[in-house]
Amino acid sequence: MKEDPGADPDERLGEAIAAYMRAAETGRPPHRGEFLSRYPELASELDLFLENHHEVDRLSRPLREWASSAHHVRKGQIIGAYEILGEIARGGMGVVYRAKQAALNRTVALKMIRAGRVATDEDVQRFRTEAKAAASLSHPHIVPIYEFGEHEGQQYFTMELIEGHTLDRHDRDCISEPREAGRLIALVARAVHHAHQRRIIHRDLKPGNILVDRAGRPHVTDFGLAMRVEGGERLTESNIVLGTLAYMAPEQLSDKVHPLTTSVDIWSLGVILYELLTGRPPFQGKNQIDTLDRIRKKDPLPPRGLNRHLARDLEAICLKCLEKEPERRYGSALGLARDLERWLNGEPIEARPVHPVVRAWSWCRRNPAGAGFALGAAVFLIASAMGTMLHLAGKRAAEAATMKGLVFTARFASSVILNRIQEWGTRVETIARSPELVGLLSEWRRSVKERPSADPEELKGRPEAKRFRPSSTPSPRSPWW
Amino acid sequence: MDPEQETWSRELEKLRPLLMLLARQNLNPRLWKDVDPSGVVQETLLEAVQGRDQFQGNGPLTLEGWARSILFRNLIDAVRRVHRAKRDVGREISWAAAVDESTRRIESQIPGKDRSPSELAMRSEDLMVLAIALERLEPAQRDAVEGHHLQGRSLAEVASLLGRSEAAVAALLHRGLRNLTEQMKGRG
Repeated sequence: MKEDPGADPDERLGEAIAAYMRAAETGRPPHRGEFLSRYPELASELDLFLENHHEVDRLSRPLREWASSAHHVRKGQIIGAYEILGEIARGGMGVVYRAKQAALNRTVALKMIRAGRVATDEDVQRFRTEAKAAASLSHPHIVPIYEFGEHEGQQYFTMELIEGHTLDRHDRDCISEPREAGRLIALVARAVHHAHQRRIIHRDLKPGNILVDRAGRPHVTDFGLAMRVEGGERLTESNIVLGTLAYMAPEQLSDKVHPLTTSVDIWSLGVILYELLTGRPPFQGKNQIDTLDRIRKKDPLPPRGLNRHLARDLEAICLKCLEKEPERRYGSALGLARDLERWLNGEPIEARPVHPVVRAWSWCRRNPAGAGFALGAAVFLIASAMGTMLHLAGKRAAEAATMKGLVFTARFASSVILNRIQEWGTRVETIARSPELVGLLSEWRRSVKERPSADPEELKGRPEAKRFRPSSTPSPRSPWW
Repeated sequence: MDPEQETWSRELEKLRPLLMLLARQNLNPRLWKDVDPSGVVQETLLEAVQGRDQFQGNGPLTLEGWARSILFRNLIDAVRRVHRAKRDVGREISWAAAVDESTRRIESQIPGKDRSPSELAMRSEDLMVLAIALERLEPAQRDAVEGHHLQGRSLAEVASLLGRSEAAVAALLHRGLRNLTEQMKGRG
């Protein structure tokens, strides 16, 4: 990015464009001049990019719009007893409109399948499921269904219009106000418990499916993926993994076939709570596969790591919902609601932080291959460390022994040599003092004085001998030569 | 060959770049290994070449709108076929989601009673120029441009689909757009 002057210019150009696109995607593209001035050295390239981007966007717009506007319902269109007033939201499958029911003089929310007439049987089935599931529920925090109908072969249903917004657009002040987050989730959990008691699992709880009205009351909606747990009658039957990945429980993503329980909704409530408390979802990967892997195997970062003002108890409640094993989560959504309420009232809660040993053990259970590897690695490491230690110890002992031996030998040798030198010194002294040798020497001196010119030639030719001979060296033939 | 039939084939052949563009636009790139867009376009053109009588009896549809409806039908058939064939093999979730998304996209474009596919025909001239220029791009650049501008995906989504970093996709997009506009200017 701009701050990194060492980066490769191509990479920096890519980063600059990516920054622009990300800002544009949030609906707030930076002002052209301001954007270019942020990267003066790339300005001409970036200017070209903006121009081309704009041009291709203009050319391709009809194609994009045509693709997304298929079966568009127009304002003023009459559908059954309702007049369409405008579009409220557009989901993966359906579109929700604001509509007026003249006979009862009320404004409602009308939902239709987006794919329209060509919807597959599966889509239609899913759509009916939603209406049926929600219609069987009656709870102040669940959006009530009014009517199910068909218009020119296209199915629709109407429900109460909640004036407000979805939780994902809810005031992010929740992040600084954990009590508000706790209060909302406690109410939602009670609504979810109501559905669970009627054997309906929502399966797709996420901020986008929780409406918050102007009085701040939450309302659960979108039971499109709901499933009935009793007697094998599954309301939604699909071979595709449904739901929004970030909010799905690990057992929903498992390769093995698990009978899903109400615990999946408790997990999703934990994810929503986590997001409200920290501002980010607990499992966020670089891509879907990475996210999937995190949900299945990784422990979430404790919320207090992201928001240190959070109460420990609230963190414990949140993490209890996010236990990988369903049986370690709250036994019911009501249990979660009550614990949150206890916390709100300043009473002791039931959720307790998990002991690290238990956490490590459950990690091993989730990652048997990893655990096996870790165990193997640990055994190997310990064994090799011990081996190395033994080897080193042995080596050191041997070295010490050798050294000791050498020192001993050296000492012995030197003492022997010293003794011999002393011994020989004494002998030389004794011999030098012996009267016999003294007599012999004085006799030799005398004979030298008496024959001073004896063999002068010989002496000339052997000057060393001349010099040497008169020396009084006790004996050139020392006893030890 | 019958000269009329030959003209007919040539006219249809001209639609190939546009059909390719539509196939790639509506088929999630994760599925291209299983459903080759160019294969489906080829199948569509063959079917159209043989179905001249059918077209003439088909009322107000333009040739392009008619070919497009055959394309979308073939696409949805192909997607359903691979889905049926592979759903038991335990494919990864992203694959299943790609099937789901492609199905929705394609189905929403199969013409209904009150929606004439010729709606798009008015803008076809521009689109055809775009389609031809796209065909000439390097595949990596084309994937980036199509992912963002035609499939309407966010930078993050395109990056995830192409298995590259966001910055790398942004750089590809920049080069792709530059080459694309140069191509189109060259033609204009």
